[in-house]
Amino acid sequence: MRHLHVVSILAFLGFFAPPPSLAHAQEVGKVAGTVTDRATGGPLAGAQVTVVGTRLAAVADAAGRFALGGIPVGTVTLRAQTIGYGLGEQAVSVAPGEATTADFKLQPQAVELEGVVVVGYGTQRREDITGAVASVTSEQFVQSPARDIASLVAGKVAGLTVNTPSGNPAAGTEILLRGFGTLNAVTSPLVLVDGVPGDLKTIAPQDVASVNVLKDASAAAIYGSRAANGVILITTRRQESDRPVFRYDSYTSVQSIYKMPDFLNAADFRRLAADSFKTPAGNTFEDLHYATDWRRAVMRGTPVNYNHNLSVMGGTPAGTNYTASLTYRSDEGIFQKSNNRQVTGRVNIGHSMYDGKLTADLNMVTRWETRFDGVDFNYLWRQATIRNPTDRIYDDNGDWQIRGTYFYTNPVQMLNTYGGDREGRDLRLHATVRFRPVDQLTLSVLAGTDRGDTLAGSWRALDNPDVPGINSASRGASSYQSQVFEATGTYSDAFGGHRVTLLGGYSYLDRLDDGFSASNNRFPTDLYGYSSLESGSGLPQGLAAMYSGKSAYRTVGFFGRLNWDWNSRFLAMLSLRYEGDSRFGADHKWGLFPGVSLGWRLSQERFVPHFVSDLKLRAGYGVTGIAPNRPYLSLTTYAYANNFPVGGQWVPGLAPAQNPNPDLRWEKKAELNVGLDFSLFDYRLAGTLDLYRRDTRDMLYNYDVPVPPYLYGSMLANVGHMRNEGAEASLTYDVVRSARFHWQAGANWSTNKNTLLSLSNQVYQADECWETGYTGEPIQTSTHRVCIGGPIGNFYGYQSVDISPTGEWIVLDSLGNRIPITQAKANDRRVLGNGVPKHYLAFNNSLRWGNLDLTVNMRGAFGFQILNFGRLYYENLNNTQYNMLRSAFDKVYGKQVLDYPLVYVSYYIEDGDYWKVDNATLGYTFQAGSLPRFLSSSIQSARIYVAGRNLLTLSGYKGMDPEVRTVTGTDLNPGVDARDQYPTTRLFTLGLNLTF
Amino acid sequence: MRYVTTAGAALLLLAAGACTDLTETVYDQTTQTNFKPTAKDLGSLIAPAYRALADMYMGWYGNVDVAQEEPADVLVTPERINGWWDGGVYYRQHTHSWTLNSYTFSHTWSNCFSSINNINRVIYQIESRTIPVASDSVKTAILAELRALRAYDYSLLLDNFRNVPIVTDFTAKDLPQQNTAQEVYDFVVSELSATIPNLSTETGVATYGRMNRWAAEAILARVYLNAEVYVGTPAYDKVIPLTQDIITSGKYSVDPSYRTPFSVAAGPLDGGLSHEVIWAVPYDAVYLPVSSFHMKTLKPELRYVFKMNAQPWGGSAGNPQFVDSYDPDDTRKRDTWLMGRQFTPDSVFGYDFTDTIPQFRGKNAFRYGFPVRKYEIYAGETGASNVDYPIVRYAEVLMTQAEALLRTGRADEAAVLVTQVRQRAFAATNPAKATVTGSDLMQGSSYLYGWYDTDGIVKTGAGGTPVTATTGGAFGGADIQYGRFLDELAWEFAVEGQRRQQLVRFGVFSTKAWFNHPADADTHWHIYPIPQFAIDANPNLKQNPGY
Repeated sequence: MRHLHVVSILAFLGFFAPPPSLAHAQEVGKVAGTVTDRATGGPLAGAQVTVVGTRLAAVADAAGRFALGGIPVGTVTLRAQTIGYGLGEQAVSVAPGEATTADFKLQPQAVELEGVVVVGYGTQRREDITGAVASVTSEQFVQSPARDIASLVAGKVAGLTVNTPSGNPAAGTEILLRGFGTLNAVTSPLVLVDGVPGDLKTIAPQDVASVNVLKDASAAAIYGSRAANGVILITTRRQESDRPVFRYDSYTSVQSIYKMPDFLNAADFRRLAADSFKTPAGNTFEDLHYATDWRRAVMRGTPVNYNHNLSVMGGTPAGTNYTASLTYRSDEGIFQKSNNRQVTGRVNIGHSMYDGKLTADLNMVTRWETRFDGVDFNYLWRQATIRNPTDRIYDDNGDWQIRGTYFYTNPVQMLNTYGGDREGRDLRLHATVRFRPVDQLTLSVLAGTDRGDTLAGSWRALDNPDVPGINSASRGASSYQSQVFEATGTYSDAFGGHRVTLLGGYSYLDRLDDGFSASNNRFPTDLYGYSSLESGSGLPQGLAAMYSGKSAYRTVGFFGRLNWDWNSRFLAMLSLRYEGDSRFGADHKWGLFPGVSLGWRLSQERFVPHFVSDLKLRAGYGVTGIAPNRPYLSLTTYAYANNFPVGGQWVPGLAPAQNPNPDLRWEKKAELNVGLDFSLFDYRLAGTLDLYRRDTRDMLYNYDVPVPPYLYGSMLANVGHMRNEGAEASLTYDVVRSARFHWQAGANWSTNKNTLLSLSNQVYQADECWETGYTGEPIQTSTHRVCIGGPIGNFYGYQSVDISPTGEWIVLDSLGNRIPITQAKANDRRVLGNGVPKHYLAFNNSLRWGNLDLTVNMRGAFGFQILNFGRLYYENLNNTQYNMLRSAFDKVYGKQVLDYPLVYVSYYIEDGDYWKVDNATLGYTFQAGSLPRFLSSSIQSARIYVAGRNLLTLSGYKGMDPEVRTVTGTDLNPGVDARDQYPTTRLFTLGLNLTF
Repeated sequence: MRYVTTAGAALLLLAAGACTDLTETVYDQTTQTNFKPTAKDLGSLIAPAYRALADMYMGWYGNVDVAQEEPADVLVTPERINGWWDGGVYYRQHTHSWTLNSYTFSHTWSNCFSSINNINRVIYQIESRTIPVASDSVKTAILAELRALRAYDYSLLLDNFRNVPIVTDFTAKDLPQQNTAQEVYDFVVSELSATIPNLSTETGVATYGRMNRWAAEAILARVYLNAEVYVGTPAYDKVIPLTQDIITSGKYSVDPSYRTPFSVAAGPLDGGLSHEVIWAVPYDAVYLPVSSFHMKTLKPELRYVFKMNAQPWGGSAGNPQFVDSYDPDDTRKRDTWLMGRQFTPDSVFGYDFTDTIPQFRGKNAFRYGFPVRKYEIYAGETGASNVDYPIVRYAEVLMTQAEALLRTGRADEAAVLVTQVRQRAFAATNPAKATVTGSDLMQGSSYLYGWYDTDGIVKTGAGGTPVTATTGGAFGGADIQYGRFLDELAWEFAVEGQRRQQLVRFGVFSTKAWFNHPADADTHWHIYPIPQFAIDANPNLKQNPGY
């Protein structure tokens, strides 16, 4: 048998499916029976019944009946399973030639109770968990094509915001857990793929078995100085039964712009020009006598996305097993040339010997991603929207039609005279060896390496719009390599109603980043693109540029955890991590990160009424950190830069680039979380409620410091204090539980309040308030303000309340008086709203009716404002050299057409509340019996589905899509619907899943 | 249990052997610990002290335009059809209502102190022999140069902020104490006086862009000229011997063409056409790509007219009131401002510039107001200009001496020097007009101060009554003492970053109205506030009076 497995693996590597392995010729018997709902007694059509250890399987028919033949004689274990029900298992003895009966009554479950949940350096039974941990398994994933792994769980985890504010197929999602906790460090959570740091694109979404989110610090503290933004644990699919599986998943999607903004077209322009229409400022419209739909001119007709995923699983968990998959994905964007292609491959080989005392796990993940990267599509969108629709693409000579107008580029020229691509490759190799000398003790060692590089190139042709006659090109590469090593020991024991698990371990991670780039210009021809940089003459003229850089850091941690439970009534978890990071200052290399949580399963107590199936009260406290985002920040550094002539020679100046800060350390987040998990009415209604307060202290901020005595005018120091308080709730309800029809509904809600409590201490003082965000040209002012005592995300500007008869804004001054905007002073500005949603709500439905299934995911954000830059820039008649929105002709406040230059006032800040039908998927599963015979002998199941993503948005917002960027990095300017952007799209998908 | 013991021991061993070393391995940074300077690094070490001036003068939000010209009467940056409101920053400069942290002047503060700190560090390194120096004479010369440059930084701080902390000890770790204007003035005077004898007398490539004896003397003369403003005690008599030393040296002359000092080829690194520039910031499109004032004043379609490689942004222009004050035969007008039709040969791109700007606020077309052409515009020019910025030129030395003579009752001698400077401006048009007399210089100003109304007529306010030269108060210029000399300074030094200082010295800065700037309520606007961020960072600093 072992040889056979090796052959199978080799066969897979050669991209052949393994031949169906047949049972040895021996005496066989039959088993038949029914699968029913324990609660209603109704049949469970579509339930799968397998013989454990073989690949024999059957699917229950409409009456819940199943029959299995060819079963080896003797005692075998039968397993029945279907979505929404607990697993059923029973041993039956099979006699030669006889039909044995086996009936299964499955327990309906709104939540999976038996499930084990990955909690970091191990797993825990769901009922034992005392921290705020959310778990989403593959059956619950959002089923439409996913941008990355975060989109699989969009709207599924209370408190985890997953936004898709860009239609660019190369862009990812933006995610944020429980509010902004930092001003200067990274905001993204720690993502671990099978326990090893990775990211949300490391593996293909189809390969994910579950996504677990460690939301609170008591759960995340075991990851110490990297865990302050939460931890996302991604578990890949593995061979879990003895049955070989060959799966093919495929989909094709088409997409279109979600909403096209309503600009003037050529006919409008012509009419306005012919009527000699004068704007209030006296400007006229120019008819250039052609007609071009500029947006269509740069967009694709019908962008198509494809995805093919092949996966093979085989072997036996008790011996050698393998899981391998290969995914090819090709996405086209709505703009011409915009694309993204990915190939992801994964091989996992597991081996278990000496009765499971020694197991080894070898893992390889490789990824290749490439995309067109020659044009800033955000800016292309601007140029396509503002260009005069009566203009043309080419002039009479066939050259690009250019105009001298300020920041006004022919978008078709832009798209065709700029080019480039970006390619990324990653390879992850990891091995884990587990030794279990006795049942109670497991020793485990993980070692691995991740390597990756990015290669990018771009070029600009001679007839480009920006520097006509000068072409240029650049090429650059960056790479990283990271080594991980982990050693852990786990001891579990049970005695007298106590169960104890003790974990101890050491972890090491290092990372080396380096990169270089070079550019040149003035090439004799455009033909080389970026492929012959030496042929340009810019280099000898001193006009070429180059760069290289290299940096490294190391993180080392010792950690321990104790889990204790007494009769499943009282639960406790204590963890401690002692961690050091080379990026910290000399005086603060090491830190302690404790976590503690307690649980009381009230459902084990007598006073709890019977309708309560399960009830657990839990509370946790923990400390986590987040490291500064670059190495070397604590050192005194000098930089050679900025030339000056000394004696006729240009020499680079050597000047201080950074002040020393031996006190530099991680931002420290302390979090208190109180939660309740409950299941009622025979597990029909289940839910979770969490309340938390997280305090980020020692928050990093760049302070202005006096020069002298400091070497450099700013200093990164750990001073600030930010607080996030919030609540999360989620509910799952089995609305209908019948054999033919099952409807499960889930809802979740979260709210968060953010307050910047302090940003000063004895040494470092920051302003009470500072302005951030930026309107961009030509307004050039800030959009947001952050104040001590207030939240992140406040819009700050003039409150417009009216318009004068001459079309000028009337705004409020600091005392609340109405004044013309021309008299407004800087201190008349006020808070105009906030760009961070106060509430998120999601509502997920999953319905199954016979072979038909339907899922509908809806989600929304409430209590926030959006700065609509589209209206600010284009709902204004002043600059008739640019195209504008039709609404520019509307009367402002119903009174008067605006006659005022572009200015940032509250008129353009709108309520952003929205409710989206994010995804709807309708699927049909073909039962083996209903397929043509030649198929049903080999195909185990087949499902086809249609899905729609971003289907419908209910919102009063006037812009394109209210799902704007509300999660920001260090810009602190959430809620901005930018003028330059890649519009969001609506996707329709046709998909197929085949299991052999 | 045996297994457990063995395994536990194995784990302990692993943990004990585990890597716990957290020293940073540094690859791409120069850190204090890994850098050991040698004598050949001296150039690199002093470069940042000068480089701060390059960042400050003609960069974005430069000292020349935003801090020194826009609060004055020569240059305005009105709102344009493409923007330029920029949160009101230029308007606040124009109307003297700047806020406490405005980058328009805090930029000057930061750059001066950055330069000072670098100088203190290098002086410390030389004196403590961290940097080996070739010989004592090299050491004396380099220390003199660094101290003189530091004194120049302090002269700028004195002029703009007055009450600034004097820091000369690099090793001092306490927050600096604030000094009075008198202390700063005394420091500048004594440092420059002490170092002048040890400074190089060489001109040309060797000292280009750097502080030589003549630059130091000109700067000290400039400080003395403003002594009455700075500390209340005039020092005009001290101006004359200093400027005379430069004149007598014969090292410099007034270039025959007014355009030469502002041409690409002016400096010795680029051709050495000018004999007038005493000290300049040697901007370079490749090596020192910072100068962007041309982008701020030229208009977008001029890229095609001048065959530039960048599209200018289109903001600043001459104040029409000032442009109207030139003598029609004064060629400095057309050498300073880009006037009238400026089109490509096929007439497709370009503008017909008019000398009218209806008002500061509003949708001003690009053709409103004359852009600055004083700094040479050339084919292939990018966002960073090659043209050097003259900090001091010989014409200023002559005019400085002339002003000192005028203010000490020697008007006729002053008139000779002023005539010498004027000659090239009228050489091609009406040479007789170059000559001015002592009594001419005693006249008031011909600048028609007042509100520039939307119809192009100078009035007492928007929709007010037209003003004449003699209206008085905030209007007209006839009542300005030595007003004619003030006019001469404007015509000669327009857009060279000296106008704020001149208007303060002649008592005009807060008393007169121009364009959309009404007269100020009081004189605290004569100096800028200490930037708020500096006060936040150093509680020893007190804000300047009135702010």
